[in-house]
Amino acid sequence: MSSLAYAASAAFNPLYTIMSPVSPPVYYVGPEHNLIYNLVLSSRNAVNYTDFEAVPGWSSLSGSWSWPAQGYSGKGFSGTGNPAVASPSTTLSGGTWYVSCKVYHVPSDGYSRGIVLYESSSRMYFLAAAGNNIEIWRLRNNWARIAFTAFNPQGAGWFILNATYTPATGSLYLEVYSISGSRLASVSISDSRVSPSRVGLGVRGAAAATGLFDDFIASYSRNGVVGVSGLSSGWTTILYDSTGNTVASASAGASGAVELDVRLKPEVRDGTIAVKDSLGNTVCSKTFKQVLGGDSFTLHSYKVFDESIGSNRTSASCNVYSTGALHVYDYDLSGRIVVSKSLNYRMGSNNYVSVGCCAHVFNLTDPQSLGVVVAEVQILNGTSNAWFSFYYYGGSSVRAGSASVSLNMNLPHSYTITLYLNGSSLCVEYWVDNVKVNSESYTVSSLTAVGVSVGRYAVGNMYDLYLDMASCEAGAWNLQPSYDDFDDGVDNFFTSTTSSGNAGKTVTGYVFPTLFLEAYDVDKTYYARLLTLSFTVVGQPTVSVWMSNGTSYSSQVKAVNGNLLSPSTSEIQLRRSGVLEMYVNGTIPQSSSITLNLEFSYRLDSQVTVRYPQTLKVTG
Amino acid sequence: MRKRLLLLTAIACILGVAFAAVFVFFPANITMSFASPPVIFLPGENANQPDIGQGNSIGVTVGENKTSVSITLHPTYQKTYYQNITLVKNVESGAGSKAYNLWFKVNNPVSGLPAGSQAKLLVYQAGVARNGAPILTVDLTSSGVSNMITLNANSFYEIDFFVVFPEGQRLPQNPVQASLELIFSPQSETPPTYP
Repeated sequence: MSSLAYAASAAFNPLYTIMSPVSPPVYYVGPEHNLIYNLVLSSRNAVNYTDFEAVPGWSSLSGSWSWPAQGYSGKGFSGTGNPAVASPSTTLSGGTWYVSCKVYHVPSDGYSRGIVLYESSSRMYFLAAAGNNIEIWRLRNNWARIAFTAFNPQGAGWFILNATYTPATGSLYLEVYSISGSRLASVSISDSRVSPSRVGLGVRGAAAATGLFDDFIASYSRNGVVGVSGLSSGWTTILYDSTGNTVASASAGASGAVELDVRLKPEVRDGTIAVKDSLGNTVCSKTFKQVLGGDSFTLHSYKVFDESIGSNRTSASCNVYSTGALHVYDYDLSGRIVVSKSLNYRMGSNNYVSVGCCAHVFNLTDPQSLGVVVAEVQILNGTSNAWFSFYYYGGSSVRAGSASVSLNMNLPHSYTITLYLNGSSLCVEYWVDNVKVNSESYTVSSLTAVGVSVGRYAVGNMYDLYLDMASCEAGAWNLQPSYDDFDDGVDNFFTSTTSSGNAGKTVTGYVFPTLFLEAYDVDKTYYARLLTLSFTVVGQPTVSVWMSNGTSYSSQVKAVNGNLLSPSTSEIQLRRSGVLEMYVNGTIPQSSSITLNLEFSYRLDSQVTVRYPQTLKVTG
Repeated sequence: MRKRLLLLTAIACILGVAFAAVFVFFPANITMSFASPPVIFLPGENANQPDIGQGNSIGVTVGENKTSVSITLHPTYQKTYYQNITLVKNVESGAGSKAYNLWFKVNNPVSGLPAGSQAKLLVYQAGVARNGAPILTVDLTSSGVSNMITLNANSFYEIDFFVVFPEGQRLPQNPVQASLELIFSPQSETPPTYP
């Protein structure tokens, strides 16, 4: 007998499955930049400078002086007398002084026009263009010409005079350039019979002697160049003026540094420095209230992530790195915290102070609508205090002084407040992400920048605020720029803290909300989400991952202190020719990390779902 | 006398070589009454809906008498899941209706796919969420007969498909095909093969 029983009756219906695989309609795309660059003023050597577009604030020490006059570009400064001497009140001492100006010289009139190194009305040095010469004169009760040489001016016109003086040795040096930058002559001498403490401009030769001047700068270093370092070989740095004209450009070699030639324009107002890579792509572009001869800038770079995408763009492996950040927190409705940096900087005309940071503020509970100060400058106008601030009250906007600015507060932004004084007129500018969003004007009697603050002195709200790349710069050397990226684990920027209750500050590893991966849709509308399949963790990091299609956000995959609380995002729509952005954010203490093995899925209604693998590692 | 006996013996020997001694003939009548198929294919909820890729749709063509079906899919790299593409329905109902046992027999599996590929037919109870295991998984990349499942009267199953195509491999230039048979029987014994 057979051991296998067969069905007595059975029907056989054919089923054919045909598969025609297609190219992926949604595929991974890496964001353009995985590095953050920040161009920062690292040192400033200008002691006094003016292009005479603003009130010079100079003193007439002799003769008569007129402003504004016709300058080489825009406004200038003119003096008449024998001698006529004008000077800013700033004093200099020690080191070597570098003084430069533009002068309109008329060789045929016999008058001398140039730079004054002033001790008193009876003691000074005068380095000037005189007739067809450049000459160095000393006044010590009586005038004496102590050095001269011919420079062949070939008629009246604008020239550039550069002088140097070293008090310790009495070394005096004068050179003259044509307005096109050709060096025409130089002369030098050593003399110690006068001890100047001020610099300025002068005219002499007759009672009717007159001179026109422009673009004056005095500094403790060469002021004909602006240095930029931190570049890669082959990168080009360009300095633009406020109208977009190129002032100077240079390409970096192996040293990673350039010197931009600013002899023709030692003060660039609202100057933009742009750095471009060897392919011409803009790496970094930043606008500064003033770019001055003798300035040094540093390009800082911070690696945010690196990633590899599969050959068919349907898999991705991403590594995200935290950065040092200052965490200012208030978890107490009865508490407060303010971190401050003292400046006590008296400002003169054509001077400025600019403070800024990158900040991410969130988790705001604010029943009394007190707001959180993201950045603030306090001033003293005479005897009255005033504050100029970025305030966050929740939602999708910030207050920039009197203006409300729409802003996606799920992301970090750079905030800069710039105070610029022109005579008695104070202009306050508010910048977000290198775009000016508001400016206000005030009249002041005197101006002292007192300090910079972040936080909220009033009691009654709670928040988290992470801050990075804190910077402060001023228009002259006596407030040297300061910058802190907190990567050393220490807050070297804010010098004092006022706090109470469960509020405080700490420096920690932080991942600012970062775009680390994108998905591009070629053909039709899908619904996408991220799901955590598994994860590994070291330490107690806190990480969130979410997606945005440009108009809405998904919920988050979230791990808190190493525990996975939410494994999946919500679904979010992805339209044809649209991009889905994936973000990560978190607090990553040193030596901690988390690796999420994710699955990115997109579905076409209910009929078909495609799933791609994705690995995300976040490291402290 | 001797010659006559020899002749009779010869005749008997000749007749005894080719023929049995006796035959019986019983009449038998075989009547075939063709019936409507009790188990049929139907388009699933997502049959002929848009598929991924420009201009593509999930092709589902059910035979005139619903006893055959041809399905066209357009998967892509990594994992592609197709849900509720076709239905298998037991149309018997009422008194005398019965359940049928089902098998899927892969006659010609999908071939030519790179290592790491998968192609599966998944059977789910009607209307259930896809967060659990199917009641039957059929591997379309290898031939053979699946396990048996039972379809009750007036019930249907939903058919899904799951395809994995590894990244880094070239997509097939021509469509690939698997040929199956849905076998159903009121008995549970293993269905026979046939030429």
